[in-house]
Parts: sequence; structure tokens; C-alpha cells
Amino acid sequence: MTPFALSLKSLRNRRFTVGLTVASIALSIALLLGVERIRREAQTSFTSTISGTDLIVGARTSPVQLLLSSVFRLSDASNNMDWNSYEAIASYPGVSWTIPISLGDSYRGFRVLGTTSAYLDHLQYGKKQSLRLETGEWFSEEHGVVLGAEVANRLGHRVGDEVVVAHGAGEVSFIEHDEHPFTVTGVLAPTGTSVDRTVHVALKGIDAIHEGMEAGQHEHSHDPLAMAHGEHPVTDKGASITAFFIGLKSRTAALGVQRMVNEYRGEPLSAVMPAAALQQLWEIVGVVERLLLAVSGFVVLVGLAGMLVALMTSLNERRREMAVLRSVGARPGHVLGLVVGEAALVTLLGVVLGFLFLQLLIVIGGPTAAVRFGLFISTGLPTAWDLVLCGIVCIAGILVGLVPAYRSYRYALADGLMVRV
Amino acid sequence: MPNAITIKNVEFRWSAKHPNAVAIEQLNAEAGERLFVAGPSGSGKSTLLSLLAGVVTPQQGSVTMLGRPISQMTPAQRDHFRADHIGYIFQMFNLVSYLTVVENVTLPLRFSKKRWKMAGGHSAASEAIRLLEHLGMGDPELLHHPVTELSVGQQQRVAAARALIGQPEILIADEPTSSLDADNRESFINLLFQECAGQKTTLVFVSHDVALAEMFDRTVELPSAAMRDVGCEMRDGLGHPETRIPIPVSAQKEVTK
Repeated sequence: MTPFALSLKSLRNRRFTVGLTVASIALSIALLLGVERIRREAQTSFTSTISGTDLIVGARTSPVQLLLSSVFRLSDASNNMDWNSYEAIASYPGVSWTIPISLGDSYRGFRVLGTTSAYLDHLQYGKKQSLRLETGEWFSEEHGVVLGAEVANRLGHRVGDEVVVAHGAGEVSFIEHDEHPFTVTGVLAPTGTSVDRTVHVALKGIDAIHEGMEAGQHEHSHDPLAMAHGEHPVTDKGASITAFFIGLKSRTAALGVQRMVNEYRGEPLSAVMPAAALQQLWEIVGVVERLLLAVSGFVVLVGLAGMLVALMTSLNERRREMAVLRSVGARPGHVLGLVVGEAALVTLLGVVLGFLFLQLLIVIGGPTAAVRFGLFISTGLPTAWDLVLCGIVCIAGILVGLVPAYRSYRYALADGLMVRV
Repeated sequence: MPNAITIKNVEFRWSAKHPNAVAIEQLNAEAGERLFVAGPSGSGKSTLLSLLAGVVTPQQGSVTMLGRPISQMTPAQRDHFRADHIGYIFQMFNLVSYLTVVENVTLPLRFSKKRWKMAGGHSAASEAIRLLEHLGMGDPELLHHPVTELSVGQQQRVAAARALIGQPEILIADEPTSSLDADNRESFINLLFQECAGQKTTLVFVSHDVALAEMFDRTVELPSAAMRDVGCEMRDGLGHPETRIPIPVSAQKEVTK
């Protein structure tokens, strides 16, 4: 038997306290890797809020601003753009599809987005995943509404419910379009993006509201017959939208189309490549991410400190053991090796168990995280960075082990063979 | 054949301020000799053993074991020397609680290649069992028990087997019988003698139980601290008459030699 086997037997002898130490390290590691994974997933989910879209076009503004309003639906667009401009650009050669969107209204705190069925057909998120209807169908008439998963979930709406849209983005709005109740025709499957928090209506539906608004009074009559016959005074011409998404036939054309849009003569417009703008935006939000990592780093430090304490206390009971080993011929190096070896073993065990524990947590809690927070966390082998983190923790564990090891080395020398305890 | 142990003009203090110093002018032991070390508490018995085992080195003088001056070795060299050549039995047997009987006995072999080879290398376990059998611990039931379940006498036998395995040239026993009753004491010492005789092992046996001295070849007595203060130094079997204990006839010859 080697001294290593001796170490194992000694550990087995103290399995309860050692188990606690291993558990505390495992928890720290699970937290560190968990935070790291969530951090990574958050970035992925953030940067893949939109995919498959080559350009986003809106009234001239900064790329981040346009992204915030059109993709995240967070801020108000400063300006709308003309429908005519949209039609002109949509007909550029190389453009495969377009999704016009119009923002500005809210429904109980959720943004209302006017669009067309192209939204369902072409908008993609994550790894080029398309939107999918959980229940119901996409609206076919102007007073239909399709709810994002979170909206439906939070407000408890189902297909067939009536909703009343307010003007403005606030939670409470003074101008409510009571006269224009919408009917829920469908609910989208969760995506983990801002789509979940959006109320989708037809462009025409929004225009219908605002035609009346802009005229100051509600002039158009609610003649059910007129509605039924499509004799609504709204036409596509002359209307405006907030922005639109472009899908190109070939991605290589993106730069050319972007330049054409930026030089569009009709009105000042901006075209933004979403991936680049998302990356830019992430760098702004990324502080939080680094903060998270720092916090989990501290948790690991606490775990290691716990191990140090455990090793130190176990050392007192092992003082005699060490002296006995010395007396039967163990050299100080052996004693040092036993304690450091134990620290290394405990850390390694903690790291492995922590990783497995995290996988278990993901398997159990993953579906909930996906539904409630839109975070899609997958199990899987550790990434290179995970391994680097684990490696750092292992090395730190060994370094921590050196402290009690040095002490026991001193003890063992001083005790000599005179232990009488 | 060189002496197994030679101590010359040794003076040792645990620290400069430590009141008691151990001074030994001369102490020799031949290979295979059985030496009884007696002396009251505080007389430096333990210090003498530490010097012999090379745990400490004297500030003055020299300690030579098996012809090698261990007092001049580096700590690492002394560690190796001790692992290879010295078996040690404690007053408290200091068995490792989480190892079985056989594992305890073979423990020193993990740290000394020489003793590992001497004990038969991979078949060391059977040598351990042979030793245990010889010491009256042959019951196979006991062999794989945790040592904590053994009686005191049994633990002491395991400790002895541990010290003897791999045939170290020198066996140091520090009050090994203090927790045994009188009957067990003598039979234990006899077993120890038999084993030592077979291996030509030099035995240094420390005890304050002077009744045991008769069994040994020779007795060395350490004067009490008080005696040292008035200038009485321990000599090889020539302590002061007042503090001397009866020395057996066989040993007397040694002394006068």
C-alpha cells in the first residue's frame, strides 16, 4: 500500500467531517459553474434575441437605440418612418422578405406591436428558431391579437378573450381605446425573448386606432356594416411604421443594402445589422455579468476557507496520527504529502460532485427556468472555460492545503516520538 | 563488529533556557544486546530515546548508531536512517485507529524499502501474520479487526510486531509494559526477547519498573535531575551507588569489562 492509500483510509475514517467539507466545496463549485453557465446563456439568449434578420431599418437614430425599440421594445422610437419609404426599400433587389412593425401602444404594461403575418413567417430567434403558435392562430383581421407567452401567462388570457389597448407605453394610460376591443386569436410559444412580452396586432388595427386619434375626435362611425364590408377609411398609403426587419436573399448583400438605406433620399433612415448592434449593447449590459462572476468567485473563496478551517480542526485530532506515522518512519515530506494530498482529493471530489450536482439541478430546474425566466440552460460537458475555472479551484485547494500541511509538518517534527496523548 | 550504539560525551538541552540538561559521558551497546534504561521521572529517559532515534541531536558529543554518526546527519538522513533501522514501541501503543491489525503492523514498510524487502516485499502481510502469531496474536479472527476493538495486551503485541517487522537492527521500547499487568508484562518481554534474538536486534528498553531489570543483559540508570545538579553524571552502568538499582550478575560482568 502506498501512502496515498493511507490517505484514503484516513479520509474514510473521518468520512463525516470530510463529507461536509466536500459538500461545501461542491456547493461552491455548483454555484460558480451555475452562475457561469447562466451568464453565458444570458449572453447567448441576449445576442440571439433576434436571428435570421439581416438588417433593421428605422428612422435615423443610433444602432443601439433602434435595437432597443425594435427588438427589445424597451424605449420609444424617436420617430416613425413613412410607409412609402418602407415599400420603396422592401422592393430593393436582394431583399427576400420584410416585417414592418409599429410600436407606441401598450396593453396593461406590455407593448403592443402592429405587424403583419410576415412576423410569424420570418422572425427568428436563438439558433434560427421560428416563432410558433402555442394555441389558436395568427390574426387574419384587424381586431385580432396574438399574445406573447408571458403576456398570456401573466394576464391569464386565452384565445377568445377581449383586450383593450391603451395609447402610450405606460402601465396606466388615460386614453383607452374602449371603442376598439381586440380579440385574442392566438398565443405564441415561449421564446425567452421580448416576443414573449409583446401583444401583437395587425398593422391595420393600430392604424385604425390612430386614424381616429389623430383626427382629434373619434369621427369614424362604428357602423358594423361598414366594418364588415371593409370600408374602413384606413389605407396603407400615408400610414407610418416604427421600423422594419429585412431578410436578404444573400447575406453578402447586407452592406450594400445598408448603404442604400442610409443614403435613402425620401427621409433620414438608419439600417442596423442586429448581430453587431446586439454585441455593442451587450458590452453595456455586460457589467452585471462580470459582477455575477465576481460574486460566485467569492463564494468559492468562502468554500475554500471552509475547507481550510476543516483541515485545521481535523489536524488537531490527527496530530497524534501524524506523530505515529513519523515514528514508524514517515518523513516530513510524507506528512506534508498526506495533508496536501487530502486537500487536493477533497477539492477534486468537491469539484466533480459540484459539477454533477449542477447537472442534476439543470435537469430538474431547467424546464422551470425556461418557462419562467426564458433561460434555456442545457446540461452538457464542461466547456474549456469551466475546466479552467475548476482547475483554478483545484490549484487553490492545494494551496489552501499547504497551510495546515506546513503546520502538521512543524507539529510532527516538534512532537517527535514523544506523543503521549 | 561495531557497537550498535555508541554515545560519547553527549550533552543535550531541549532549549537554552530549559532547566534540565541530559549529560551522558559514555554509553555503548553491542549488537543483539538487551539494555534496560531506568531512572526516575525527569531523569531524561525520553530525551535519551529521542537522541537514539535521531529525533534530536545533541549540542555536544556524538551519537553513533550501527557505526554511523547520526548526530552529524541532516534531518532527512536521520529520517531515512530511523525508517530503515529503528523500530519503536510506545508507552501508548499509538496504533493507527483506522487501519486493521495487519495494516498497522506493515505500516513501517510503506516508508522503508529496506524493511519492506526484509519483510518479504509483496508477501509482507504473511510476515506480519507470522510475527503476530509469534507474539500470541495468531487468531485469524483478530487479524482484520479494527485495532480499537483489541484489548490493551493485544494492542501492545500489535505495536511490538509493528516495531519488529522488517528486522530493524535496533528496537527502542519506551515504557511498553506500563499498561500491562505483571503476568502479561513478563511474557510480553520474553516474546520480545525471542524475536530480538532471532533477528540479532539490539533492544533498548525504558521503564521505571526496576523489577524488570533482572531480565536484561545490562542496566543503565539515569540519575534524577536533582542528582545531576550536584554533579552526578550518568555513566555506562556506573551510576552513583546511592541511586543504583540492583544489577543482575550477567550485567555486572559487562559493567566491569
